Parts: sequence; C-alpha cells; structure tokens
Amino acid sequence: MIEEWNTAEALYELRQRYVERFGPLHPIVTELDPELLCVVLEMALEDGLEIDVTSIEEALSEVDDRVALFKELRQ
Amino acid sequence: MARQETIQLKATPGTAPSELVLSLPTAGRSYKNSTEAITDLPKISSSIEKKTGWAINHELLSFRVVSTQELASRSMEDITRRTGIPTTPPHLTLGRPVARMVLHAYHRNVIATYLPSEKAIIINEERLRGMSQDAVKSTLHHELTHAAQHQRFPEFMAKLDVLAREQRLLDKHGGDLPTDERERRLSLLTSKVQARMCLLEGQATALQKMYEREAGLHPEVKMGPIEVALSLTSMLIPGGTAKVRQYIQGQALFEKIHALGSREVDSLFKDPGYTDLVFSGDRRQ
Repeated sequence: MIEEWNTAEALYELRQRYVERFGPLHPIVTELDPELLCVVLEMALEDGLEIDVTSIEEALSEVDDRVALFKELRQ
Repeated sequence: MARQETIQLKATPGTAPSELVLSLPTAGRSYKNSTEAITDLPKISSSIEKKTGWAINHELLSFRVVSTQELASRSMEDITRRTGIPTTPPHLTLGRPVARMVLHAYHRNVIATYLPSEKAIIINEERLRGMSQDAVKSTLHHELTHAAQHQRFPEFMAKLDVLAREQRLLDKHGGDLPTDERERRLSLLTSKVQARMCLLEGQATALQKMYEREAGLHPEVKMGPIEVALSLTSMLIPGGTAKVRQYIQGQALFEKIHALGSREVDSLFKDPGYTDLVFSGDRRQ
C-alpha cells in the first residue's frame, strides 16, 4: 500500500485543487517537505479553509496590547 | 506490536500534546544508539526546570524508541483515551487510501511525541538514526516541556481534553441544536481549545529556542508554525491549519509573559480566563 504512494503525483493533484479553490500557495507553505505539504493541503481542502499565513504581521501587532492588558489585570 | 525499546527514565512529568514534525534533511553527528541519546536528558530537564521553576519528576515518565508504525498507532490511541472518542486518521476523510497514506507520511516525519495518557515520550526510531545530536536534543527539550506542563498542571490538561471532546462531538453530531447555535458554540469551543494549544506549544517552542541558543545547538531542522499546527492534537481542531498565524503569535506572546516571571506564566495555566485573554484575545474575564 504505502509503497504505491506517489508523493509527486499526489502533491501535484492536491496543489492543483488548492490553487483552483484558494489561489496561489504562500511561499512559507511551499517550503514544507513535500509529504507534509500534502498533509497541509489535504487538511485545508477537507476543512474548506485557506491556510492563513498572510496576516502574521497583524497577529504580531496585537501581542503588546494583550500583554499590557494581562499585566493590568494581574495587578 | 512493532519492535520496541523501553527505557525508564529516572525522572519526568506528565502531559501535553504535541509532535515535532521536522522535514529537512539531516546533518551533523548522530547518536550511535538510543541509549546514548538519553544520557543528555538530565541536562535537558535541568534547562526546563531552570526556566520554568517547575520540578520535573522523572519517576513518572518513560522514554521509548519505537517504529514509525507504532508511533502512529499509539498517537491515535492516546487521543482516543483522552477524548473518549475512537480516533482514526484525525480530521482526514476516512476510508480514502490517499488520506491514509498521507497520514502515514505525516507520522514518518514525526521525530518524537509526548503521550499524555501514557506519560511517555516516544521517539521515532527511523528518524533518530538519521538526525544530528543537536536536532535530537532540541526535539527532546520540546517534548520534555510538554511532559513538564502535564506534570505541573494536570487539571489544565484534563480540561483541555474535555473541551476537545465537546468540540469534536459538536462538530460531528451537534444534536438538536439549531445550526446557528451549534456554530456559535463550536466557534467558542474551538477558540478555547486553540488558546490552550497556543499556550502549550508557545511555551514549548519558545523554551526550545532559548535552549538552542544557550547550548549552542545548530539543529538542521527547525520547528516552524506549520509543523506545530500539524501536531496531532492540532489536527483535531477544525480549521487547524487555517490558524498558523495564531501559533506564531502564541510563541511571541509566551516570550513576553515568560519575561515577566514564572508566577505570571503559572497564572496562565491556573486561570483559564487569562489563557483566553492572552492567547485568543477573549476579554471575558
């Protein structure tokens, strides 16, 4: 079973499906090991949700505010 | 059951999810065998104890080197035990050969994982052989941190499992709830599970990176946010991979809280309100 697994073929198919549905893959994602990329794409397609790596700066910008509020509540 | 080498450590802790999924080629000197690998565990544990202020009880932890196949089956069994819900390939369509093969490929890339239900760290024998000592040490630091979390805050871990169970049941069944109410509750549960996962993974990854710097390690593989998001427990969360950014944020948040002192870090584990506030922005204190 496992020996029949063709990563390149599966990856090609999954990438095609993902790109058709969500658009181009983010470079961070494409750096993954091909087998892991298959897992990521499979899960994203299963969930029907795009892999969210594009709003990282926005997420990081919230860090200081949250920590400040935490400190305030802890006092 | 596959071949297994069991080594009881004289120390270790309790619980926390996670697998390290490392995907790059190996480099550097490897351990000759698993026995040699565990000789570094006391030093690694000391590093964690120093940073957290937590004492790790090594009598409570076992360390085993297992085959990829066994690692996969025991990881699944661990989640089943913790949630009470039979678990097969997480969050992937069952019965589809491709999904099964993809999952096998996933486990083949897992170096080590902490199994809360067994209080054991299991290491992938095939991966151990090809990795540098630096990468193995770094990996063990991450998994030992999860064990330390479990040992120090078992209630936190138990609550996480309860939330994950509720979430999975609601996701799969939903009962008689109207769709909008079901979605509202599912969203709330997902947020809570995700926040706790971010705390666990944020701490383990942040401390791991500190350890690498202090010990002068240069692992050829790095733990990235996508790898964290792919951890088996994360895969139970609907839309897990859609929240990669939250793991990046989680690590940054933890580093800031860590700088405030161990008492503040402990408060995140003791008070769910703080966990939700810091890691999901939920201000319902």
